[in-house]
Amino acid sequence: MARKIIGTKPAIERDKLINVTHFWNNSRSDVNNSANGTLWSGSFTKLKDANESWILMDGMLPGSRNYSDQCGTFAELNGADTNNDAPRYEGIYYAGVNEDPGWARFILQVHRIIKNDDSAQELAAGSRTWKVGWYPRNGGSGEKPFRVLNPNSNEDSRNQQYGSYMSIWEYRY
Amino acid sequence: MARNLLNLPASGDEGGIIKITTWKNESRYSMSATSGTSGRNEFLGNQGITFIKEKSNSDSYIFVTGVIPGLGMPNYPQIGCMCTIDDLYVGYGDTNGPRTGAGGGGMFYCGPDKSNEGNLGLVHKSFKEWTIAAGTHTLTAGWNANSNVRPFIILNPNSADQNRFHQTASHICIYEISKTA
Repeated sequence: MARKIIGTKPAIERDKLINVTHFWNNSRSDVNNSANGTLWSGSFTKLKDANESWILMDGMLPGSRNYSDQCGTFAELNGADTNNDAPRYEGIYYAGVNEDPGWARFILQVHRIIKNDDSAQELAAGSRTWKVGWYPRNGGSGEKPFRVLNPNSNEDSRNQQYGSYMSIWEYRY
Repeated sequence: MARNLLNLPASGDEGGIIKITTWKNESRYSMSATSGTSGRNEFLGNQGITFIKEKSNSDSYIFVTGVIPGLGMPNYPQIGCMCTIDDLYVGYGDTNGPRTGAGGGGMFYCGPDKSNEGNLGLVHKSFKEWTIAAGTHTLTAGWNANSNVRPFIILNPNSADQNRFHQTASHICIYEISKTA
């Protein structure tokens, strides 16, 4: 009774999973050179507002053939701060073989924790979009993390068709 | 009725995730080349992550996921990567734990053997077989090697390293998960 009067949530409710939306993309695509670009995006419904729930963007995008050593990769929900060094550039990174041939493969990993301590503007309830892309800090043009997203036998005859996964986990505070 | 009066969740709600400790580190850090267990917390920037486990060992276990950005690979990439709690089982051949030595793995990285290329660190580890009591604990990730090594030159690189970088950051989730339904 005391807890109800005070209004605090019981421990068992904290960090409970409210909703999860999974995305899958197995379409091979050539990634364009650009001053900024989108590798993949989607939409989902956030059930609670910014003060009630937080988001974990959790995904993996396979790539092939090197291009930019660094290019300012980001993972965001719509409304994100797009200034230099903003939170959308955190919790995401990529690495791979520094070679051009199709066998040179890359992993772009997303594990971004989005909370209202620094990213409340991304967390309102309702229909929201997510995006993974790049935006180099120096404003340079002609960048990209790799040349091919979701490679297949076109890059190397030993490849099957690879695909990207993204899971949007909504947890209660 | 009692549950309704007290607004308590039904007992069936006690399974699943009990707690998630989230941790972000956006501090650029020059890694030290160290031997032995001195590198066991270097992946996190020479620090551990303190967290509180709510339930007993019989009631819950710990599961960890995360991404760790690095720049430049100065060593051949076999350096005894580990992820452990409370410095358990960090010895090379420690057989006291559920797996032999170096914290039983669960942390790895890859990237090209170049000074200016990205190296991707990942953590994905279940501690379900470990004995972790309720209370305060410390998670570390790093290495235990027989020579002075380091996996990256820079942890969480930024524009000081290359002007296309924004500030990058490590993001880690420490899940406490119920062992009961």
